[in-house]
Amino acid sequence: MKTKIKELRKQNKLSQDELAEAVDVTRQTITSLECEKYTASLVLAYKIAHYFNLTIEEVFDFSDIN
Amino acid sequence: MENYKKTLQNKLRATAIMLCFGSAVFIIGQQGYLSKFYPQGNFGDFFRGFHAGIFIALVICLIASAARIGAILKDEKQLKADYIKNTDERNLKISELTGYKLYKSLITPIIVASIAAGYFSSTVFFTLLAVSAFIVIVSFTRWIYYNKII
Repeated sequence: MKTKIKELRKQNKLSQDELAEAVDVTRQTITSLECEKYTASLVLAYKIAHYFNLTIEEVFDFSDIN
Repeated sequence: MENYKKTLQNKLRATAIMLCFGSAVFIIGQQGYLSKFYPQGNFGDFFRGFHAGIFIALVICLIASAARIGAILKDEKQLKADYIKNTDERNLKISELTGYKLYKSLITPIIVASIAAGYFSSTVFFTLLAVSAFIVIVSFTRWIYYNKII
């Protein structure tokens, strides 16, 4: 699934480690999300969106679904 | 986090109990009480060596595990890092896909069974040992594969 995590992270000058620690996951999970290898669970998607003060739809691209 | 801390404390206690139990078994074995049960000949020598090797490996693993848990419990930063590592959803997904829990629950009984079988038959001993080695190799290979694709 496409995400805007990388862009948002760069806008906020955050490292993968810092974002990972903030949302209680490992750095590898953030890498996998950015590389579109892994689809986040609803809880993780909410945590990431909430961290950037955005909605889930604004961070994750659901256009591929359906 | 408090629950995780308690889990680690329980793990540390279990490790200490296993270490004491393992040491007791080894000391009893060294006193010669088990020597009459050992198989004779070349296989008997190999089997004794295997027992000693397994015990030494077990003790090293248990001491290393106890030291690691002790260090984690002392440092809040390490505790959080370990908590994240163990509850990370990607890691849990990889564990689920590799069947890590199943392999983990299979390997101990098979190794114990192979040691017990060694007193009666070398064929069964080597077969069970090969099965446990196969399980470890398959589990590790699957873990590498899923770690790469996810």
